[in-house]
Amino acid sequence: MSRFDFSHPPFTHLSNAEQQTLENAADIVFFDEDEVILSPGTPVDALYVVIKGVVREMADDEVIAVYRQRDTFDARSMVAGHTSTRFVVHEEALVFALPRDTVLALTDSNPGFGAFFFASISQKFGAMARESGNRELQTLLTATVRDACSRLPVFAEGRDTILDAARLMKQRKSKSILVRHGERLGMFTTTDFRDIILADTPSSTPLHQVCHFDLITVDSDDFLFNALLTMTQRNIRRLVVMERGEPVGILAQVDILSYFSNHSHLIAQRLDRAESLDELAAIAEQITRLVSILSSHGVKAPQLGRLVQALNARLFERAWQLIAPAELVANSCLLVMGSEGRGEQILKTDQDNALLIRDGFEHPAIQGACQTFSDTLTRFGYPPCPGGIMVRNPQWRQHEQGMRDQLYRWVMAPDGDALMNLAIFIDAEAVAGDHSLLTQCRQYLDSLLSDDESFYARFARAIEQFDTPLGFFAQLLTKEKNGAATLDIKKGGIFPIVHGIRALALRHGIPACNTFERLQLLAERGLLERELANDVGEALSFLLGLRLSQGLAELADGRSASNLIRPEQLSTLERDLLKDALALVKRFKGHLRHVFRLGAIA
Amino acid sequence: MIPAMKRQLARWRLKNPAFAYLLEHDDSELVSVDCETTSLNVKEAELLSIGAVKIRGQRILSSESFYVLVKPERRPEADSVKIHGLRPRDVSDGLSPQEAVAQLLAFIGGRPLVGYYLEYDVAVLNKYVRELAGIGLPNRQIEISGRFYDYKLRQQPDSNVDLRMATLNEELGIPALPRHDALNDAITAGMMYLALKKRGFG
Repeated sequence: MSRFDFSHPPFTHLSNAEQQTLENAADIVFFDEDEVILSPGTPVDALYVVIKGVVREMADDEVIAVYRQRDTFDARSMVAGHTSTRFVVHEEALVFALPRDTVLALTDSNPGFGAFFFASISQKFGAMARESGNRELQTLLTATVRDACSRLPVFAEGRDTILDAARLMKQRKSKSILVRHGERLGMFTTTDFRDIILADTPSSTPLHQVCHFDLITVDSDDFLFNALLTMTQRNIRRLVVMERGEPVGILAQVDILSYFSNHSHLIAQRLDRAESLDELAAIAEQITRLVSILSSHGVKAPQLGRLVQALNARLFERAWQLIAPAELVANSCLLVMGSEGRGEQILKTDQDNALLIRDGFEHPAIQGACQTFSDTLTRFGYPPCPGGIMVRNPQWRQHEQGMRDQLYRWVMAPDGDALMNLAIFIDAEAVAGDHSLLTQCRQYLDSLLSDDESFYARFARAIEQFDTPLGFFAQLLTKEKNGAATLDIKKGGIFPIVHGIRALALRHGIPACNTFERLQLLAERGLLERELANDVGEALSFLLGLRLSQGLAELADGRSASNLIRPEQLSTLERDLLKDALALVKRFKGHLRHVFRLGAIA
Repeated sequence: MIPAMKRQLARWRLKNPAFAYLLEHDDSELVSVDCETTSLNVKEAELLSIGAVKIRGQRILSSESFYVLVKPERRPEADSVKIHGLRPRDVSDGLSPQEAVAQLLAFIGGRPLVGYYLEYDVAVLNKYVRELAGIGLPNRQIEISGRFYDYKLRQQPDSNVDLRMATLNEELGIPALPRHDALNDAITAGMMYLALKKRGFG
């Protein structure tokens, strides 16, 4: 057993010998209340670990972070050798002082340990992902197509006959073969025999006449998760695996399903086959269960968000098809908006939807169908939107012209509600009916937006709506025992990022709805610094993940999912990352303030 | 005047001039010291291990600590093994007590000593120090349990002061280190000293 207790991150990354090295170099320092341990202007020559007591990190008069037993401060300052904030003792503190040189030498020799210090925040999150990867046997996150794909392709020539194909498939025990025909590559599967029999096609027919050439492929280095997403979205069961432009394998749905204990693809299939709302209700329940399972397998929140979006979209589409008369479906466009539209809604929260109706189309059943649809979603477990952003509300059930007039008012007279409605509409995604109605409406909106900087400034200003969440830590500081100290990570962290990125996307005409895609496009077009974009993405991913695990825990307790985090229930590492993520939110807000000149408007 | 005379007397008694540095008082640092022994009876007790750590201001210099195992002349009593956890085989490669104490003396120099029931440790050490230097340890001694007693009595006059180590740890908010040995006990005593000093009883 070692002399001191270093059995907590980041020191768990160290070998026994390395821990010994650290231990031999460690001093114990006692600080009285209000003593300043680190401050700007004095060199930082040690990394501190709290043995007992509380230390607060201050920027001017504001508490940025609080360090307690086993917390480490301050990695970034130690690497830099100086600090921009002050570290002040809040409650008399005993700390380990680990000399900078020793720690830096260890970061050199041990990359896992080093990742904690050379924080770009992204790397730090990556280190955590690896850590949780150790706990779970296999995470889907890290699994690539290569890992799951074990089926070597069986090739046939386009001029070979159906009979040849049947023999080959029997001989090779394969349910699908790849067909080379000149430059083209096709696929022929057992399912095709059904159509061949039905159409009475002679068995001497060459394969190139019956196989499918519109192959959907996936790169062998792509994440397995993306492959599953493609299958779910396209409703297909096989993907051709490519490596350097050459087909190297077939990835079948069952291969992926063996990675899942629950089958998202099966859920999607059942959604499409459901013939009644009761059937749909049963499937809707499974989505939450799937999320819980995938989350425990280490699938990250952004990917889960996209999967759930795909499933929810099909659930809504199927429900709408069952409720609304066919001509109404064809002459309207059902939209999901807000986080559902962005694909960041993971657990069932409020319904945010709208219906766009083709100009001139009238149907007596519109109002009734919309009412039933909203009620049905409520029954499926999606609570009604408190703001009434639902198809049963006439404001969100409009003919194209009505919606255009509404958009015009929102843009030209942007008061608080108008801007909020606009923000919601910008994230709209079509799920059923004629998708072009939404496209045209968006084009109209884009034509309304000018280069009026003050409009974008007013739009972006909502990021200032909620104060820095780190203030909640300050409360935690003053009284620990009175009640539970909580922190709203939606208001404090997720909303400023999402809205800030939305504002930038609107300003620069970025077409995507998903925040991660928007970030990607903004960075690609040089509109946002790549490093900041990465950091913001990682921070958002972490915050969404934290909200998800919190929500799942609440659901397991029979409560409804909330956005309230109790920092003292988090692990040291999570708290550390939360602080980093919130510090990043602050930095990003500062960036937005500058870009949109928020200081300049009243 | 008296301390000066005592020092003079000690210098005169000092058998071996090589240990003259013990008399050069150095208050810039303290040394917290703890010994594990074969018995709690000073006369019978033999050293098994010695731990010591310097304290400079508010800092416990655990990075420059002193820890040696000592091979006793007789086997440790079975009862005492339960307390210190040092089996005969653990100390079989230890230093001779004379060598260990000589190294300790070089480590502490003229610095004042700190310890929990320091009197006992000093008494055991002095058996060897006298042999080497002709005098007992001349260093100023700071007794943690005594300082704690004063502190508690100031808080609650006429109370019964519990002086057990666990009580001190709890009252002073000192964390228990994951293992007990002479060095960790010396470090713990050092932390107690700093906590008492902060309360005005250093």
